[in-house]
Amino acid sequence: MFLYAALSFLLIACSGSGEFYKNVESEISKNNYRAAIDEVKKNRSWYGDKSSVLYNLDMGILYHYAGEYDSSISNFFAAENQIEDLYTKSISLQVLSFAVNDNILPYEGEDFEKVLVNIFLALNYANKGMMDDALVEARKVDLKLREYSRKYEEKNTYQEDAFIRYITGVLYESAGEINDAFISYRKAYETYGIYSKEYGTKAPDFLLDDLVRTATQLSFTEEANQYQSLGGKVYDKSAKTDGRILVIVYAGKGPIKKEERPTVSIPDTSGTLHTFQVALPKFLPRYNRFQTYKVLAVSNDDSLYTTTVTAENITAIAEKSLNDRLVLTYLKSGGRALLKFLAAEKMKSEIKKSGKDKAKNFLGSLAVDLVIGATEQADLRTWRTLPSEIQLAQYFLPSGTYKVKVSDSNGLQTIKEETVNVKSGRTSFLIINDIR
Amino acid sequence: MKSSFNFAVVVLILGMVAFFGCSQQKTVTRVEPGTTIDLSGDWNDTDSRLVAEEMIKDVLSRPWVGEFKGEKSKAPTVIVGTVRNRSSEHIATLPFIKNLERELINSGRVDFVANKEERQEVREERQEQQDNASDETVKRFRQETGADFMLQGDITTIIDQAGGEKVKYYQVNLELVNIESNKKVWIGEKKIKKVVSQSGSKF
Repeated sequence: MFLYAALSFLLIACSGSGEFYKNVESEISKNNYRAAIDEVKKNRSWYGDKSSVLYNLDMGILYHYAGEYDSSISNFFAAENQIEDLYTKSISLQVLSFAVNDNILPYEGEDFEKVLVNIFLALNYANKGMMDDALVEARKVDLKLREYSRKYEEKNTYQEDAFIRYITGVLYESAGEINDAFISYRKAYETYGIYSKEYGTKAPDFLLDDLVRTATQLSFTEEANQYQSLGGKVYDKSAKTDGRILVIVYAGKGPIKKEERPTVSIPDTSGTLHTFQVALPKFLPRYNRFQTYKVLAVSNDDSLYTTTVTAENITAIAEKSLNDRLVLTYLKSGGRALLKFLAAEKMKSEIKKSGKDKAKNFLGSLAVDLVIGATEQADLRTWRTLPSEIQLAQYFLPSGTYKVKVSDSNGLQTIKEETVNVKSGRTSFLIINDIR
Repeated sequence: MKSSFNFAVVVLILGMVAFFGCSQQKTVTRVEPGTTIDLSGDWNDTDSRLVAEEMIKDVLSRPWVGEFKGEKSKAPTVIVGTVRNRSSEHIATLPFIKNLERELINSGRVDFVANKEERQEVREERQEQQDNASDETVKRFRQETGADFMLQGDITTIIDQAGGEKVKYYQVNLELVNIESNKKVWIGEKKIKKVVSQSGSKF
């Protein structure tokens, strides 16, 4: 009994709460990614072997924010390999986790986090101009989502990712593969139907333009008319091909997990109700202001304004996915509380058998219940360096050099100003970070 | 009695933690480059070599070679274009293209010209020779051999997965196109199927 409690305490005590993240996040908000990377490196021991995946996820995204795409790719590859290895679960650790809590297990990431790895890898390759490799990552997203849907018997919410479908369309279109581009845009549009219902994310207006354009180029008259009637701009086939600027804005801090302690009551053999607290993780959103961005593109003879729209609400996806996992797998299997309850019942009956003193018996039983409450602790590990949402804006412009300025919604505060070269028929990706 | 049982459990658990925490030692073994070694189940050197060998054997056994020879009374000149990766893993297509080129040249049945990048470097060298090489050794402009046929294609994968069981199906498609007429004279495909299993649990 005492040893059990001591062991549990030892196992919980070895992971602190990760105070250093405050510094990491403050550096991110100031666009000091090098300093953020150094802070994470300095705290490598906090992650340990158990949270090595998390370390690589944090490093991967920080390098991505910093525009160091090769380093980002190698960290994300490391994370992906470790996640793959963790498919093989250690039975001994699983059993131990039932007795204590999930914090003693290696962190393999939530399903949506594993999918985001490939989304950011795709964007890394796209920024390096390696379109075929970016498309490989997009296909990996598809494979993963299919696998997770199978795991949850298609009862989960996050079965398709509209954002990566859209990016896939953009990549195909820049490669001149219009048919594949059209199919991807259509899939994105369909998925935004689900997105608007589940996460409140509507399809960007320009997606309809993209559908009309590619359908017209393919002479799919019926489809072109259909998307025009939904609001897509008419496309003139004879117009000379412009180049595209796709502005991707990472907005706000991603969510963190906090602990919730709902109570569960289980009757024992004598009919007495035992009330336990189960510790469960729940996502806490940290980005509450709704903000879009103004984007201004200026060339020698033109100046154009547009506004960003939310294309992927990571916080909303995170909340739904975690809830789905807890409901569909964790609580369905009875959860830890029930198993602990059964173990406790056994211990109490042994106490009863060995002791004669009634008061002593009562105290012994109470102690068992208390230890169970103390070891119960939610696993709050999460990839917290993610942005809260991804916003998009796009331009089709004649070839040339443009100055692109991204500012907040009233146009008062400039977030970033950059020179972009536009080439006919090509896509220039411009990534802007505003993670505050 | 009871406490000694608990103590045994704790010792067992701590032992397990210590056992799984220990580090692995690194060993190196040399093997022949032709040896088939499958580690991850991904596309590897063996796949690249075998596919190139078999597909080039196929393309050279078809009637177009004889027909071209009969018509032009010379061996056809071939160039390898791009092989696009349309799969769901990062396949290095360059070693595969090099394997195709090697098989084509070594067959002796076709002539072969350098690809785009290689030609560029050779042209720079030729330009350089005009100023620096002696009259007897300087190479002339506009004497390059234009290819008659281009070999191009792609690699695709279909993956079927359930739990730790994965079936990987690779298909390599290659086409030989007559550069003058755009006619396809040969279409070949080669399939590779692999089963990759990963156990769901270990002790």
